[in-house]
Amino acid sequence: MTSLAEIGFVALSSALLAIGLFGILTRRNFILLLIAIEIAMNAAILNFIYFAAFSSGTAGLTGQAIAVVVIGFAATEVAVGLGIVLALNRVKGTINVARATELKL
Amino acid sequence: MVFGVLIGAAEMLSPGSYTNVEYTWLHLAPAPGPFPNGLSLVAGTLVDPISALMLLVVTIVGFAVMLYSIEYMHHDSGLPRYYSELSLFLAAMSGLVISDNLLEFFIFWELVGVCSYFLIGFYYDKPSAASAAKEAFIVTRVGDVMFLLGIFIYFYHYALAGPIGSGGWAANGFVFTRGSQPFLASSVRGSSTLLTVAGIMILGGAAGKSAQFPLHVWLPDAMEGPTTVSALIHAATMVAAGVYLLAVASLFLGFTSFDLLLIVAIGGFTAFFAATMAVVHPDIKRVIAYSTISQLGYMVLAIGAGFAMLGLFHLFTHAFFKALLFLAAGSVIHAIGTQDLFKMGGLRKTMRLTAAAFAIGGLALAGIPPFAGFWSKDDILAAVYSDLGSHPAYWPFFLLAYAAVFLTAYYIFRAWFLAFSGEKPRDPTLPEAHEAPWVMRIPMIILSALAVGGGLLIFWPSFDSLLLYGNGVGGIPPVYGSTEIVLSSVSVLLAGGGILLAWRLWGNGRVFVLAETAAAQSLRRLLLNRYYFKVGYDWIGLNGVYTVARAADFFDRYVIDGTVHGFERTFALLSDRLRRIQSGFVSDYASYVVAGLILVFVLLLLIAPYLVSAWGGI
Repeated sequence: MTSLAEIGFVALSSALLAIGLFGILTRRNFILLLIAIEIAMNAAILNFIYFAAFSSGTAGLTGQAIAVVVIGFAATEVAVGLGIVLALNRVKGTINVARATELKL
Repeated sequence: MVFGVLIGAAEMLSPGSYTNVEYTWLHLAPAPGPFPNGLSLVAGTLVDPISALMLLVVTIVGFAVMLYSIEYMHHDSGLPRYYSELSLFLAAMSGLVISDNLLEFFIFWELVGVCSYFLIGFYYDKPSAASAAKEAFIVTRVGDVMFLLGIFIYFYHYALAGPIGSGGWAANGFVFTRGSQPFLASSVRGSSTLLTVAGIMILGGAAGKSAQFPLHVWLPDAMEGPTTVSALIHAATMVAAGVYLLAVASLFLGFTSFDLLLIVAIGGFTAFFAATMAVVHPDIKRVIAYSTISQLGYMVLAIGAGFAMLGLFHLFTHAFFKALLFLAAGSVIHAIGTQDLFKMGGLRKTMRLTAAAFAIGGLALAGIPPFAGFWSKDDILAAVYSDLGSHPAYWPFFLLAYAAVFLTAYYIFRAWFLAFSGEKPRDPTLPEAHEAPWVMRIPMIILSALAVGGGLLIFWPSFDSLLLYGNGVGGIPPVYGSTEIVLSSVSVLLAGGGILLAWRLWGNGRVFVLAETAAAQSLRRLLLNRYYFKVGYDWIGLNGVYTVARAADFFDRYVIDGTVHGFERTFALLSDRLRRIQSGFVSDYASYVVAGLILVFVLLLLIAPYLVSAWGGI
């Protein structure tokens, strides 16, 4: 049975995903781009959390464990992303991704 | 070389023996079709009387020519090339004569052909030599294609035949096998169109290689190569491969009666036809080349008349005296640097040994006893004559061959008198002649000895048994009775008459000037232009083959290439469009990813009901 609460949570995470995607598609600033990616990823983590909360037994524990692992991955991802930002700034003198277009024919 | 002579000698000492070693390199399992018992391709060696005979020829003449070349070619810059090509040729020729099946035979056959091409074009910077090499290659190619077709027909037709082993000829690798008679039993002869065609194809291959009419045009032009090459390849061995092929085919496969008549006709006609062209030619090497064609005609005639071993005996003696003639001519060319008989003269005084060697070769060629050519040529004529009773259709060709005896004696002694008799060279600008150095004299002496004594070998029982080929499948030479003796005497008289005529017209430095009548001059022009065969072939080549080639080129360029390039252009255009979506903007790529994601979701939503029913509900 689908409760109103469930629909609310899914709607929340969907909204977060949409915001994140919108940021990814529109931002030119690399740091803002990274933040948008984080928002989209948090939508996924949130999904794991509340589906785990609504499940019982080992399924619930599994969802929470995955959420913790993904948070760790997100941290490393941000670390790598910020490294790229620094490198890009050193090479280009800017962190505007619209200026980094070398990888094309 | 020593090895070859040893094998030949061993074969002589154990008459009619037949040694066969083979190695299967490809075996196809039995399958429905023309080869229900499977198909083997083997590489093997077969030493029997005919290959022993050929091995003797190839190795002895090869040795003489190799020795002679040391001096004759020493000033030449392409010496390593020369020796490597000559060695390849000798290896291929030895392989050819000891092949034990037609396919292996064909491989070596092509190898000697390509060596011939290389060596004719040895002076490749000379346009005439380059074109002569091409001509030789293309003309023999016509024969080779026919030969290959002939092989296929025989393989197809005799796949299940053969006296050896189980499973028939194909399963045993198409090895030449000698039964009591050739595969083609006499009852079948003359009745099968397919076999007649196969025989004609084999004859075509042999005619191409042995320069028989109508594929004779390449051999005189092949004289553009070094004289040593002419001696070895274009007189003694390679051109004899065609005769050898005919002999092998007649001993192991057999011909239909129509084929035999055709072989006799071509042999007899060529013997006469080539001799007429030799009568007027001013080039010493080409005279000998025409003579080679004519003598090969005798061998073909003998094989066609059913006396294969006599043809091979003539091949044996001819190889020695013809190589001798070429080496003597080479000695003259080496000394004075021209091949034009009308510039020579009086060389007898300065080049005694060469003059003697050329005379011995000439006497052997003319068929004066006791020189080698007499025994083999008169054996052939007597044998064909003895066969005339049962085959009256052979008469005209016998007469042509008989008449050619006179021409032969005339043209070869015309060359001798022009070059060696008289007081001094006709062209005073020629350098002072000198006798050849010893390295060149020794091969001439060896070959002279064989040209004198080669024919007498038939009186040696061991050698004679080679010619009988064990049980006489190759035709039993006629017993000399009074008819044969009269025949031989007449042919010797004809030859003597030819020599006498040559002496009357050209001896002692005389120059015979042909009467200025129109008929005589036009005949001379006809002969000098070789009956316009070359012109005709050029015409066929230019107008026939070249037109076809142009049409094929058009088709290839515009139809086949057009299709291919059309595809290519279409895809180039499409990919050029597609390339533009790779803009380098990260957010563009991200939007493609999102678009793809949405597409996947939409598709999933659309097909979800089907998936659910397929999995039997959630």
